[in-house]
Parts: sequence; C-alpha cells; structure tokens
Amino acid sequence: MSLADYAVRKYDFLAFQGATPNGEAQLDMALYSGQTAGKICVGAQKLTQRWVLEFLTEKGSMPGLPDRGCDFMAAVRQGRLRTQLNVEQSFYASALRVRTALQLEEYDAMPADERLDDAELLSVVIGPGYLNLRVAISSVAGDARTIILPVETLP
Amino acid sequence: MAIEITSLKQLDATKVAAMIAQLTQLMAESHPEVELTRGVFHDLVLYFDGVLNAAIQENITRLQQSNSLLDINTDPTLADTSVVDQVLSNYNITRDNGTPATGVATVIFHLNVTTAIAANVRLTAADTGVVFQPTEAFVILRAGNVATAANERVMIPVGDGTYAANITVQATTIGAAGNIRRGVKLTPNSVLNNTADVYANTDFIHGRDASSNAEYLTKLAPALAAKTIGSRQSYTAAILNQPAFSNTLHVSVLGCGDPEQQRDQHSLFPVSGGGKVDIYVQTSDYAQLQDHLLEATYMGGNQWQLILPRDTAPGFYEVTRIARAGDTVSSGYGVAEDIRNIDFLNTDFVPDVLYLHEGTYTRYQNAVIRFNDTDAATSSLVANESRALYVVTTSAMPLIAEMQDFLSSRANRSRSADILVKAAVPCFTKISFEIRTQASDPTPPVAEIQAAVSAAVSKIGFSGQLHASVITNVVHDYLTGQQAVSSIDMFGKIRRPNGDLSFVRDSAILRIPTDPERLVTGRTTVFLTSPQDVSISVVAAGFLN
Repeated sequence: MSLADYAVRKYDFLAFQGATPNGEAQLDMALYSGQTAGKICVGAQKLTQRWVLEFLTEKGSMPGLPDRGCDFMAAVRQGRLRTQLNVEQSFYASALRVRTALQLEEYDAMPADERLDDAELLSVVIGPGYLNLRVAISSVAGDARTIILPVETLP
Repeated sequence: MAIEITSLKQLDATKVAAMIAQLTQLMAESHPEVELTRGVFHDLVLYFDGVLNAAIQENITRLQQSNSLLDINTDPTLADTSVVDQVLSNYNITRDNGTPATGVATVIFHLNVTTAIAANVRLTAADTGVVFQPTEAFVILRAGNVATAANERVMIPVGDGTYAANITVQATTIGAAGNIRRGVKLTPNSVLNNTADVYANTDFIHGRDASSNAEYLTKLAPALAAKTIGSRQSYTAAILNQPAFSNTLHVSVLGCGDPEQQRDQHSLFPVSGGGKVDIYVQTSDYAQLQDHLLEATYMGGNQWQLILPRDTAPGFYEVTRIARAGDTVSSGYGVAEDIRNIDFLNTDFVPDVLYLHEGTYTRYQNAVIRFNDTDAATSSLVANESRALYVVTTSAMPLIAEMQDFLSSRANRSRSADILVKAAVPCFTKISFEIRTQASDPTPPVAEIQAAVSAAVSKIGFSGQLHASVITNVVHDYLTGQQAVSSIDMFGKIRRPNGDLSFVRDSAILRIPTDPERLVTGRTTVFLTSPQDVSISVVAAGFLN
C-alpha cells in the first residue's frame, strides 16, 4: 500500500494517540495532545477504533440508541468475569455481536482494509483490579492488528 | 409533567435515530470525506448533536402541544400544567388547586362550665386519618348565656347530663379525603379540658383535589360563554363564575319548551308562556347528611312532631334519622309523616310556584315531620305542650339556598325570567358487585374502590343513564392478576318531588324514567352514590390455572 491509496478515503478522527506502524506502543485515549491539534486516520487504524469503541460501549448506555454496544463491559462492571473461561465466553459472545453490527453498516465502496473480518482473543491476564485483553483484529483485506485492552475491574 | 426534557433517557429512540439519520445525511452532503459509520466522529459529534437536537425538538413539540387548545383537548395528560394555566388564563379561567374540607364538629362536654378550645388543637378523623383544626379559637359559654363574639358558642344541654356545642373545623391538607361522613369520631391530639367526645356533625364538604388538565378543560365552555343570563351555558357560566359555587358538579337549565318546565304554564291556556327557568344543580358528589338539634312537640300516643324551617336544611331530600339528643349509636325512629310546604314569608323575590311539587327541593321548602318515639315515657306528657330535644339527620345538596339567593338578589336577578334553583331530583343508588379472585392474588383495596366508584358515579350528572361499564372501568384500575368484576347490581330509589318513591334496577344500564309530568327525567335527576352505598364481595373464582 502506498500513501496514494489512502488519499481519497473517508477519514475519522484519531482517538488513540501514539500509534506506530510497527512494534508495540502505549496509546493515549485523546482527540489531541500537547503536540498536535488532533489527527485523522484511515485504514486499519480506523477499523480498530470502530471495533474498540463498539466493544467497550455498554449496551443501553447511549440514550436513543438502545442497540449500540455489547454486554462485555456490563459483565466487567458486575464483577462476573472471575476466570479466564468467564472472560473468553463473554468476549466471544460480545465480539460476535460487534462483528454483526459493524458488518451491517459497511458499504460496498468501503476499502477492504477498513472492513472487519473478525476479532480473536489472543491472551487474557487477570490481575487485581485490572484485566488485560490481547486482541487481534483482522480486516477483509487479510491484514491484522494486535491491540491490548486494559480494563479496570473490581479488585 | 415538566415541560422540559430533564434526562436524555426520556427521549423516544425512534426520534433520536431519525434525527441522527437526518444529520448524517446533511453531513454526507457537505463533507463526503468524513466517515459517518460508527466511530469517533459518529459517536462524539453526530450522536450527541442528534440527541441534543432531538431533545430540543421534543421541548418544542411539548411547548406547541401545551400552547394549542386543540392539542390540549386531544390529550390533556401530555400538556404541561403551567403552560395550560397560561393558555386558559386567556379565557379568565383559573385552575382549581384544590380546597381543604370544612365542616361542623360537635363537641360534647362533661360539665356546664365555660371552656376554651384552642385554634391549634389537632383532631384526627377515625376513618381516614385526615387531621382537622378549628378555624379559630373558640370559647364555649355556659348554657343560658348569650354569645356576643363571633368565636363564642353556647352549650346546649343534651339531656343525659352532658352538654354540646358546634365548632367549625377545617382539614389541614387539601383534598377530597377530608370529606368525612357525619358521625365520624374526631380524636384530639391531647386531652381537652372538660371534653368528653368530638365527632363530625355533618358530612364534610368542599374538600377537593387539585384538578387535572382534563378536569380543568371542562371549564372552558362555560368560561367562553358570556357571564350573563341567556343561553344554558351562560347560566352555568354565571353560577360557576362565583367562587362559592365554582365546585358545582353539574347544572341543568330548563326553560321554555322543555317538558319538565311546568311553571310557565300557569295561565288559563296550557301552553308555555316562557319567562320561567328551573335550574337543577348537583353541588356535591352525593347527598350531604347533617344533624340538627330540634325541639319536638308531643302529639299524643307515641307520636311527636317537629318542624324543619326553610333555612334549617334548605332543599333537603329526606329525613334519614331521628334520635334522642345525645344518642349517636341507635338507628333512631322512622319518619311517620313528611309534610312539605312552601314558605315565601319575608322574601324579596317570590318565584311563581303554584303547586307544591314545583317548589320541592328548593330553598323555600319547609316540612312538618311526625314520628313515633317508642322509648319515651308518656304518662307525664301533655299533648301539644310537652317538648323534647331530638337530633334530626337530613340528607341534602349543599348551597341550594345560597345559589337561589345569589340569583334572586336585586343586583343579579334576571329582568326577563323567574329563576328557581332546585337540588337535583335524587336517585339514591346502591351498587353491589363481586370481585372474583384467586387465593394467590392480593386482597383488593375495598375502601379505595368504594370511593372511586362513588366519584365515578358523581361525574355522570344529568345524563339519565348509569352504565355498568363505568363501574368496571373504575374497578379494574385496582385489580391485579386474574381478578375480575362480575354480578353487578345497580338499584336506584328515586324520590320524586311530589314525595312518591319509584325504584329502578338493572345490571347493565340503570335508566332514569322519562316522566316530565312528575318532574323526573334524565335532565332533572342524578345518581347519588356515597362510598357506603357501594357493596363489594370478594369471592374465590376457582380459576383452573
């Protein structure tokens, strides 16, 4: 892919600052930082944002849009995720819902690397007061990005 | 309902989705380069803009709904009360914010000594728990003294060694719950000096709940009418415009051409000459019971006679009980004879009343009541000389005299019509029904249902028909699970103006007979049902599931 491939695409605001093309980097959840007045994104970064936003939105938490989100954060908030099996079950149930929701609104002109193929839970770390999910998000184009979701839990 | 959206969760999801879709379309047209599927821009910009716009639109809709008489009439429950108040104020109507109940309480004293009753005494009704207070501090003087100040009362010897005096009390809270029945015991919050007992002397009236938008709107038609004597609505408007009569429930104005109008046919020829107007009014949900302490004259045998002057119980329907003074328990003695007459003595304006039944239930009616006291020792009594005090309980519509006096006063009197105010002809209606239930269902609130049925019947007015569905509609609001209403029986006793009784009974529609010759039609007669007239039997239904 060259830069020209991204030139005429629909863009979204970048909500996770600090992403790098290769290697691991800690992201800041902010629309702008001290150095920038905000950035835009396309491609895999946009796809990842769409998935994360939908996955971390608790179903019913957006007045007027009762179908948005999934049940994963509700399970976290209610302290129902105590074991790795709990987390995996809840993750895949929610990921299925997220995939269905995102794919329903994707349109034909949407580039393949911005269309969701699937999300896979690679590993889970359950610590006191936090939960780390390592998730691989793959697009229809075949490429994948791995993200780590730190989620606060009941200690 | 507050007019403004106070939480975004109050918004209808369909309206929010429509607003977001509209904004998405506008954004797509002006900025096609921005991704508008779910994502950061969608969730942080489009979504919140859509939700807030939907909230603004909802506020506008509510405001429009509240400002439009058409919309208010279509669904009064959706309109904001403060805005409806503003709209209807354009028609000189003010909302009835409710009134506390008032009434006369009888205080029984142990000794014939001057006793003070403080204004801050709290009297709790035994049945409803509503608290009443005296309207002012009262001083009760010894029997035989003369009251000189407005707050002074004189004790009356009851005959059993105790003394009685009446004071006016008022509920401390607004609402119809304060309309307690005659005889209900009132318990002071502290021991009152020299006081043996306190109880309601009359059915308390004037207690009204604040009106809903729907009730408020019913005042619109008379409010729009001119406050003059002319059309039927104008008569109603003239009456309701007076603060004292603003709580009048129903008014039926009958004049020239109405078959119930007989006073305008008093000429040689049996045709309506016009110029006479009979106004039948229902001023209370049901007939008000009131006790009067009256002196009766011994007539010989066991028979006694007393007189009910026209101002004692103006327009009363019937005497329901006569008992010895101080007797608040027994059913008393039945009425042997009820002889009505018309008394126009010393009245400024004398309506044209030729026949007795034309003047019955008006403020000009008086009565001679004869009864048999089977308990009194008669050996020492002298016929036509011996006298004794009796408590006489009457049932009546309140405010009949006041309304007649208002319309007959020189300032208000019509220049072209002879107006006679009458209490609506009574159809004393008893209603009984079963509530079929199963063991697992909670017990239905019988007292609340009785009050609700009574209130529903009082709303019927001069329609001439009481449908069983009115009752089922009300009762079903209090039922749960599989509970159901059955075996409805409605029984009405009509006391015609000539004193005759007729009876109607049905399980589906109770109809007032059309008998204009005797002044009984749906336009003169109302159904009167007190909560005590509603009998409810809770029975096991034996549902199979």
